[in-house]
Amino acid sequence: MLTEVKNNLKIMFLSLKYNLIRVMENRVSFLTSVSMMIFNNASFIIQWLTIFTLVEYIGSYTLNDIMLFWAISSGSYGLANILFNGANKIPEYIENGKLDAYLVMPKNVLCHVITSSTEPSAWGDLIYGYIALIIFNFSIKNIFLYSLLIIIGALIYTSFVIICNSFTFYFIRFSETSEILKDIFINGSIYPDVIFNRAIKIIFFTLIPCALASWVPVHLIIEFNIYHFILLILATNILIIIAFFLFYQGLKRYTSSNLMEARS
Amino acid sequence: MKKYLYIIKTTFNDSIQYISSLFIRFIGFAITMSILLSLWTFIYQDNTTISGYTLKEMFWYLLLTETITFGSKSPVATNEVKNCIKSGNIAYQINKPYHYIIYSITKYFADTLIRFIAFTIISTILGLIYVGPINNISIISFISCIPVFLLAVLITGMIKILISLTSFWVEDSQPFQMIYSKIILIFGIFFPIEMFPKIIGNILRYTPIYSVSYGPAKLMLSYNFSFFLNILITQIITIIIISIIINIVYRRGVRKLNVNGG
Repeated sequence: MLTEVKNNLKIMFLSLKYNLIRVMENRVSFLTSVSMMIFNNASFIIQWLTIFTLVEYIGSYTLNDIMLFWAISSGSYGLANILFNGANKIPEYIENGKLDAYLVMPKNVLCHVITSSTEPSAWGDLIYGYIALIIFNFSIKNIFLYSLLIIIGALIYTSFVIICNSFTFYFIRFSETSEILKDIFINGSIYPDVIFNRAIKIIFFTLIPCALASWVPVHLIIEFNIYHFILLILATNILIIIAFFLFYQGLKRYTSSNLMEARS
Repeated sequence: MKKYLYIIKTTFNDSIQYISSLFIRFIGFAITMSILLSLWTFIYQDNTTISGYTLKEMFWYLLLTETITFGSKSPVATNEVKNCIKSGNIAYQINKPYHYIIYSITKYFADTLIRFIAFTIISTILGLIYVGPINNISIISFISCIPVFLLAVLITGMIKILISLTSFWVEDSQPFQMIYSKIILIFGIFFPIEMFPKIIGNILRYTPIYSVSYGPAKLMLSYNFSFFLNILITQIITIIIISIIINIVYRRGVRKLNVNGG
């Protein structure tokens, strides 16, 4: 079993390596995408600066705390889309019968699918996350903790995307609904928890777990709590298991399109 | 003129066929608005008014500005013009018996019209559910606002077409579209001009943001005839200025055009 895990990890790393080489081929386009994404995210600083000229605090949060929500969300989302952008393409693969190419390989199908693609602009999200952290909440401890927490955030986000997209096995054109669910996840994670009522908070901790990817990590950086950290890791593992389970249950319903095409 | 009316008619009929795909976007729009309402409700906890706006007015301001933005999201002004230039298809388009820019604007307007009407309806429903009707609104003020909102949609499209025309010189105009949408989002949608420091507010009054976002929404919230005329004249001047710029950019772009046969 350990050898199998090792082999799958090796394949995943190779996949990531070649994805990166591919996007780097057109450097101008890559750098434009990255810098535009940084600009895109940075524009929201103006939004919050303006809000903080109107009110002194949002709950007990200062501007620096709010920027932590942005740093964590941006970093997690960026990392997820750099490493596992293939998760976003599951509906396309299912609807167009493109999973065939992955099914015939003697490797874990889901791992192979999710690492099959990378999103160049996601580097902008990741870089912006670190910039926001360094400008607003710099400390060596924070950088270490942040790096660890965005990995957890990326795993939660990817698991959520896999769960949503696995419904494409059951429902036709579910991809549009899935896009909306992803948007809600992102929107929920960039805004502070205090603005939401209890019902929305429950949804954001369970059905759309953006609270686990953003709110909890922010609280851990502000004040580390080992109990919450362990719970976060447990919750992440549960989400990963659900994602794998739903994908493979759905895969049983997959029918090949007999499409003959080479994988790029 | 007849040919452009025909373009409007055919594009409008075409757009109606895809109206069902808008419903899923309504859900996303409703959720975005409820998140923004949560944020503003929290900000207004200790205040009844901020920069002269009550919570109800602020939420309606967001709804009205978002309606223009979501309603004018037509690919005709962005991807279609960009791809037409990049693929070289524009060489065929400029030989047709219409002016390509007027063709694009009329097509955009027809495509966006059904979208805009649909988002206006959903925004009205959301506003009524979340915060209730706008204070002191009358039939006359509502009807007066219609041309202002339509001109805002038209100006938005013209700006997007102008940005797309940069494809004559750059590989991809998409990053510029993104910058424009962010500027509108931050300075035109999230906050009314009064909430910015005075210097920024004064600058914004002389930008298209005043015509496409702040002006129409503010007019609907506090209608008076002189303000209506002010917005209308500003919009007409904006249209004239953008038309001149588009014309210059388009002429230079076409002169630069070099298409390989095939």
